[in-house]
Amino acid sequence: MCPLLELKGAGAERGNTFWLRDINLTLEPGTFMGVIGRNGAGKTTLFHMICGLSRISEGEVWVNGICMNQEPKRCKKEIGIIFDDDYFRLDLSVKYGGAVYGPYYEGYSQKDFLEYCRQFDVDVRQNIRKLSKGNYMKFQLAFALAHHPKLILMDEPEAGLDPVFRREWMNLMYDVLDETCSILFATHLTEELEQYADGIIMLSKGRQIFSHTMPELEERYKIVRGTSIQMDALKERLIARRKMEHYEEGLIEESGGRLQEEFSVSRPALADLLYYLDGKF
Amino acid sequence: MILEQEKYFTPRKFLNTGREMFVEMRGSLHTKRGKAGAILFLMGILWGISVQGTDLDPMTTIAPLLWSVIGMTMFLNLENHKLLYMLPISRKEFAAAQIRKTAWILPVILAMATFYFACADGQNMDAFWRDILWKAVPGSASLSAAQIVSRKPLRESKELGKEIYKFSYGVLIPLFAIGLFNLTITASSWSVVDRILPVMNYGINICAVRYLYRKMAFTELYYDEL
Repeated sequence: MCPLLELKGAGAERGNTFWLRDINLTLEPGTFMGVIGRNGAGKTTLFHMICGLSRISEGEVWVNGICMNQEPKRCKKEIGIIFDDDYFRLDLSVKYGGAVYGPYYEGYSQKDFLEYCRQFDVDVRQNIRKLSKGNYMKFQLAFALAHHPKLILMDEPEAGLDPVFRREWMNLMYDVLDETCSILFATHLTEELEQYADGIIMLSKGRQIFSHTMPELEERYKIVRGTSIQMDALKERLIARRKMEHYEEGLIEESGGRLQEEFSVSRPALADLLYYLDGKF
Repeated sequence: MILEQEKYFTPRKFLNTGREMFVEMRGSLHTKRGKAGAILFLMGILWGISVQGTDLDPMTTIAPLLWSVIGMTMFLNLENHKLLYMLPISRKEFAAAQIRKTAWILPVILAMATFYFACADGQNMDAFWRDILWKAVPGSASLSAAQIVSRKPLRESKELGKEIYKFSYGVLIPLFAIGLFNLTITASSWSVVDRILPVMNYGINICAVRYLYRKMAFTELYYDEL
């Protein structure tokens, strides 16, 4: 089975400025992959490039074995989009929003759309503009699912939503995920990704820092804690370090060399990785 | 590579476009702009009806028509540029959809113009058909095409120097000017001289629609470059 999403050295530019450069990513069917990065790292541009809003200026983007550079229309049919901003015509009702946009997708079923709306408790007679943020997200999800996409892109859908809804949303995502569909999910809420994601890609200033599965990440990066003298001894292997009140902490990339027993070693949280790999010290 | 030969002007696609426009109009009634447009549109019709019975003065006939057309432009406009770029729709298909919209708007304007001409005093059968053929049909086509151009379905890109905005006005002004001029000048006979303006009107309509289609269908522009 071919990957549902494959980026091979892909990059995007706007005018004469590069926004993304040399992104390599493979998303196998049934995978939930998180995209992390600071504000302005290029997460939204990555999504725009995949769904055809940004020009792919270098490399290739393949969606379910179809090349976006050559057949954007066919590619877009395979993608379901859930974005934080308003891209629907907000003055339509939920029902007519589906009826107007749905026919652009070959596999779209209005019956399925209405059924998903009912399942997600979205009032189909409600004007899209008047939907609460949570319901607007659910509406987008219902619309995306009604055309049976292979790849679902979600760009910070749960930003500004309450914690209960966020948990419900993630459970919903987990229900949606099956072996024929994959999800690419950008968020700043790294704790949720740690619970649900199968893999993570991290971006910084338009470049890819890493793209790993969760077990690979766990194996590769370690947080070490020790005294200042102990950390000095590790200087060569430390990616970054910071001083705490009674000890020092740093991030190392495992290269096979064993650490001495006096170090306290733990698995880094995604927030730690963000901090150490893209923070200022 | 798969070569897909798609037909853009099938009855089904026309019906879909009509349905989309109808839903859009309903939706736009929720907006202030849409409400104002609908009021202008209806006022134009009422004004047109109220001025009937007077002598055929082209300006009296055309002004309410123009009012309705402006109203219609306002309340048909619910475009969302981002969505258009996200949907699985090719550039040619998008251009074709705009032409199909023009084709839907045309009979509405033509019906109003026909009604005004039919009700005007001093009209005999010969003058009526002359007005329809030489003025109402090309004039309505100009106004409906102008609607599409004025809505700027593709926006300009300052960064890339692709300024479709200028292109829109380049087409809009002659299209609108000749259409209006033709509608307001009385064609008094079937003579060749009286046919010059209507023929020019037909000509500019054909050129504008073809140019519009080609420009939209072959412009390579991405949303993030707008």
